[in-house]
Amino acid sequence: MSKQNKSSILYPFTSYKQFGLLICLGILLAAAALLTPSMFTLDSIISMLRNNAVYALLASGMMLVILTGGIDLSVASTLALTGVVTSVLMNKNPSIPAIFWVILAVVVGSLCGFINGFLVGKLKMIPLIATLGTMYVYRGLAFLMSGGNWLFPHQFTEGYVAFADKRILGVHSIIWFTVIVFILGGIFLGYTRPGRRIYAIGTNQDSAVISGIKPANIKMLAYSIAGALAGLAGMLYTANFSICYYGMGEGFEMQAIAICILGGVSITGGKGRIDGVVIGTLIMSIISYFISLLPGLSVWQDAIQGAIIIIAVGINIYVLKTGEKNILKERGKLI
Amino acid sequence: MSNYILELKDVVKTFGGVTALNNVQFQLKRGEVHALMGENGAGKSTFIKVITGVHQPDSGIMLLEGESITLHSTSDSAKLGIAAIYQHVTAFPDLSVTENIFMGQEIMTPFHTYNWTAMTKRAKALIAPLSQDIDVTKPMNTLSVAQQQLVEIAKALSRDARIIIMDEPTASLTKTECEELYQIVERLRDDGVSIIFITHKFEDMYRLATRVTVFRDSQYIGTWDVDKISNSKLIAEMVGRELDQMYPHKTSKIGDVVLEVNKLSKEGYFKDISFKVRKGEILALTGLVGAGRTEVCQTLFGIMTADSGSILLEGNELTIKSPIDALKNGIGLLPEDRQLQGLVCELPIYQNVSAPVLKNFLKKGLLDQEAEIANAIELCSKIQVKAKDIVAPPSSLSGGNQQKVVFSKLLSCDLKVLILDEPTKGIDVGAKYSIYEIMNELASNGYAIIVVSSEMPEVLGTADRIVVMKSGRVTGEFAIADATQEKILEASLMKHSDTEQGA
Repeated sequence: MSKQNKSSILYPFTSYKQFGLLICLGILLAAAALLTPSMFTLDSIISMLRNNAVYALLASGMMLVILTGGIDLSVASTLALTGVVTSVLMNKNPSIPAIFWVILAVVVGSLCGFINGFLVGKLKMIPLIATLGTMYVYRGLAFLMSGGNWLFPHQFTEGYVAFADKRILGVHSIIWFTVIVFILGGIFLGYTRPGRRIYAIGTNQDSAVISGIKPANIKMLAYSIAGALAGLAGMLYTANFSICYYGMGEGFEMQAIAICILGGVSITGGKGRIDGVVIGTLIMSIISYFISLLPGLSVWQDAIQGAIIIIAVGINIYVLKTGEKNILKERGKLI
Repeated sequence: MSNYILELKDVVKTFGGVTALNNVQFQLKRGEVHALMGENGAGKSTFIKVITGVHQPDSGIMLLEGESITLHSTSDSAKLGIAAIYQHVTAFPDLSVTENIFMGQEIMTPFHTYNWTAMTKRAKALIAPLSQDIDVTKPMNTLSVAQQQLVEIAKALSRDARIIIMDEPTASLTKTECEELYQIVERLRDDGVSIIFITHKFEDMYRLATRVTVFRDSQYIGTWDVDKISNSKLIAEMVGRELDQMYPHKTSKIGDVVLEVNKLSKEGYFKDISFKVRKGEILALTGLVGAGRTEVCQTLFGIMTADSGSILLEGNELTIKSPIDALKNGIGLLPEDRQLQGLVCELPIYQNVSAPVLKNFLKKGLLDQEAEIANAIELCSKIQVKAKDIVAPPSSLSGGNQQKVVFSKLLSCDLKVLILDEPTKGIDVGAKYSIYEIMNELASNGYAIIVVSSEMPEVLGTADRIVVMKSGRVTGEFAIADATQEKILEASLMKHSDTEQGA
């Protein structure tokens, strides 16, 4: 324990949990490189990242919510709703500069998230129930906004699509968005007052109240950010695939939760780091990419991903138990 | 200018219909250590929460340096220099020591981000005079209870607290740790900090305090100079009754050994626990909070499993891996928290009573509700549960009667050993007597009873034999005839090295 390095000031415990994940990632990469050397090129890696950027955005927001001890099932519906809102309006007003749609997406998303936060924080609803409700509401609104119609590639403006598709330094801008969100997320969680308070209410809400923290406000903030990121993801999703329909992104909330769990975020709150989410996203993307490349495996995709989550969580429990045992052993010396 | 840094006058606080503080007075001098004593449930904890702004009083006034103050939250009291160190350490277990100290008053950089470097440095500076062994970058849950308390003290100091309230800080400390804490408290006092020291231990009071205030049954009883009140007078004020009349006359005949525990150990909780309980005997398991009594009971009942040692029932070794095993073998537990663990407060009383033995009431695969009700009425009237309606939920009953329902539930099983974990906790004085009567009667009916209790008078008044635990070990065993309050207290404060020398 005394050999902790500097970077672990915030979280000496999770740092070695993350180490296990890194090994897992390394093994996957090595296996991918060995089994499919021809497909394992820079271009294919970039395209893999591009296809998974949306999950990363959702997972980052989901992580904040899980850290408070909650869950947000409505993120995928928020993605659909904002995607529909921005695409439909863009199609009707093609002359408006595309940056406007990015801002609108974030605003609409935050609003959806704020409603979740209000229900959970102020009205003290159980997160699972509150966001299950809004999950249907937001999806329903997306249907109403779109009138049930699809938008196809020719209906998207160039400027709009560029926000996901334009390459900067050879990398698509949707990936850059993700990188920026990860960096800002790391700063927010590690170095800002509201960020640290998310951990505080997640690890011991009663103490947080005694320390003068208002859990309701922190929760509203966390859900709003999760909503904002889902909104951004919605706009970028439609731009990335140049397609829009009210049913898009169904089930993505589960992907986001899975990435968090895989990344070592404790589902009971208070524990987890953004780098875990980064690694979790990478592992998930590699697995799905890998499976799609190997012939005959693709039918196994869901089953394999599920199995990996269970294995990862199993390892997690084992690590936690050893940690607890060590603490008990320390205490045992005092007896 | 007032003589007192803090003064409370006629403070009343009620929760629903329950009065937690009734016209309470309190005066704290500048730079004094003031002991606050009283039995469990006397209102001490509520009192702290009023001073720190967690609860707002219904009426009464609070004066800080002669000026009336109103506190709406803990941040209000923190601003005025009032800090509390709670009995159950209220830390953020997964966050680092540094962060625990600064939560709510973080040091920020000009860019409004956490200044971790400055905070770590300041945390080290705050901790250094208190302890050399605490690494401020480690998470709180890696520290011992004593160390966590030092962190809480550092936290109070970091806020320039002028008044520090300590709620039973020595309850789970070893003697050495206590002595270290005493010295720190004295140093704080000499620096001009005023300290309210809540404690059950007379040792703490004599060592530290100049004055003592006693609360009983939510009431203010009085304040005395420590050197001007005798020990017996103080106890009488705290307990408020003559001890001998509180307990029913023992009627049971003690028979053969029913349960024998041999060298039971569980890493981190308790070690080498051995004792025997006989038929018709009441064995009290006592000691301070955190001594491991509850854990031993939970192990006997299969909630926890022991690492080593054996449990013998009537000479046969048992393997108890779950409460079902325990019940099958005739061992029943009355849990400490009757509302959380003992009862299902939403279900009618009769269903609570029959819950553990539902299969006895099955008739062609369906529940025979009438038999269930008849059985519950029989058991409940046996121990005089005062319930208007057997189909009403237990939440409609008083604390004492709720506890009796839990007893009826145990009686519906076929048991030999009853483990009662703090059976009179939070029950008013009158109802306690009837619980004692029930215990006495059960013992007469041949049950072997293990009762866990922290209340010394209760232990002396009800038990046939007393086993004292301290920090997970048995530090004393007394027959009731030889037991005195002093002997028990001494054993419950004994250091483990003392026992090893003795053994």
